[in-house]
Amino acid sequence: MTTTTTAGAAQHVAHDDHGDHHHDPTLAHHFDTHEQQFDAGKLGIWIFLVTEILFFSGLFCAYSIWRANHTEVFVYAHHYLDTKWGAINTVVLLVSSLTAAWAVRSAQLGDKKNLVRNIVLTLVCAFGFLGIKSIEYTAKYQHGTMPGNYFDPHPEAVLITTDNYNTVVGEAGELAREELAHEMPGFPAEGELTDGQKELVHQRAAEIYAKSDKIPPAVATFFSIYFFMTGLHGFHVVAGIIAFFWVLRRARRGDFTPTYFGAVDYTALYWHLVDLIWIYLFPLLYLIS
Amino acid sequence: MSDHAHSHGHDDHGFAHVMPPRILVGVWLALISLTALTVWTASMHLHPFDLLIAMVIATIKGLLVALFFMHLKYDRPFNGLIFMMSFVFAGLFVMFAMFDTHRNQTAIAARGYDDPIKEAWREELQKAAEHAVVVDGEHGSAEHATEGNGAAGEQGASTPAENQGH
Repeated sequence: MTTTTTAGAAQHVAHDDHGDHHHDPTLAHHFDTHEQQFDAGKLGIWIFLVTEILFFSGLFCAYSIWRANHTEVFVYAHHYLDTKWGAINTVVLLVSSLTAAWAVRSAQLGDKKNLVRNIVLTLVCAFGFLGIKSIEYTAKYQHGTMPGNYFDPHPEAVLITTDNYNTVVGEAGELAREELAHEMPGFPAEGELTDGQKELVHQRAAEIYAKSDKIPPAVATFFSIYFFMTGLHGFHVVAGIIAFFWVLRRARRGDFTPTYFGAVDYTALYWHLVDLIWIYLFPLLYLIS
Repeated sequence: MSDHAHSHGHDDHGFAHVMPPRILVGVWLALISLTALTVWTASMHLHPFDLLIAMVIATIKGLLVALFFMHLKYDRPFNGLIFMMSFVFAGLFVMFAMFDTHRNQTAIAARGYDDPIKEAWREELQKAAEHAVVVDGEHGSAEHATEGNGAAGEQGASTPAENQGH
């Protein structure tokens, strides 16, 4: 077969043994025109994106049911998420969406330099997103606010709230330390603690936790849906990174031309969908009141 | 080799629709502004409209991404149609799944968990009892509901069985 849609062939003039018709190595045999080839691939990627939406919709169903039936759980537990990190990650993904869209533009114009540049920028943002996500996950792990049966928050990390879970009084650990510093002369209000002092804070935090407004009984469900939704989304970010590395390699090699840029466009479409899902996840998980 | 080099996205240059930088950056600025707006509105605690406002803003952002970054505005209408259908079905899933929201809360409360929301359920039970008097008072359901209320306060074990009896 002399026909190949891949790679190096795009740059070199392919041997055409048939000789009876014009042969473009970037056009597969079974397509009449580049436009037909592009449209077929595009329809395929749109159908894939449809399955992705339906895939996520199961989790959005679970989210809706749990939140509707146990609003107090969501109002209480969302205080554990840092809106600052969520907002920064939203901006990071929006920047990557812009560079992905710009990469498509560069590919359509045959501008190899800017194509490579935009794909690299998209990848940098994608790694930035995962980096911030890992900071958030690490904090959750350290505080013991894990999903399902693994939800076992350390007394120091428990958030004490009033006003029907709407207002945060503070972390039990911080409150305990304030109390101890007030009662015991010499107890450091800030800075490092000795092991003995840590133990005192731990005990006092547990006492504060026990006598304050109890946390809702099913807080673990919030962390289950949080980890599943952001985890599945993060998995898609990883898949996007892999896809963009493949596109980057092909772009560097000069595979793409103004009539053959499908791979860039399809990968960007997938990436925009990942962004689109985060656009909903951010207010649903971080901005609850 | 190519006549796309000077293309500004007009169809006479071929099948590729090239997005002008002006639109790309404009859409991006709008998305950033809307992100700031949704954080700001959430900080105002506009209950009970907060969720609605957040979802409207998210949908505007989603439309901007789909129409411009994903080229749907300039794409073949069929692609937009199948993409739209996925949202219609996702909406149907959520809607159908939520039909019975809050329907079983009295039964859940009657199981008697010792938690802070119990007081709220007690009020709801009281309301349900009053409602039962109005709606099917002649069937004697009102007494059942009132019994359920009392049982929820002390020991809830017998109440689910009674509820099943309805």
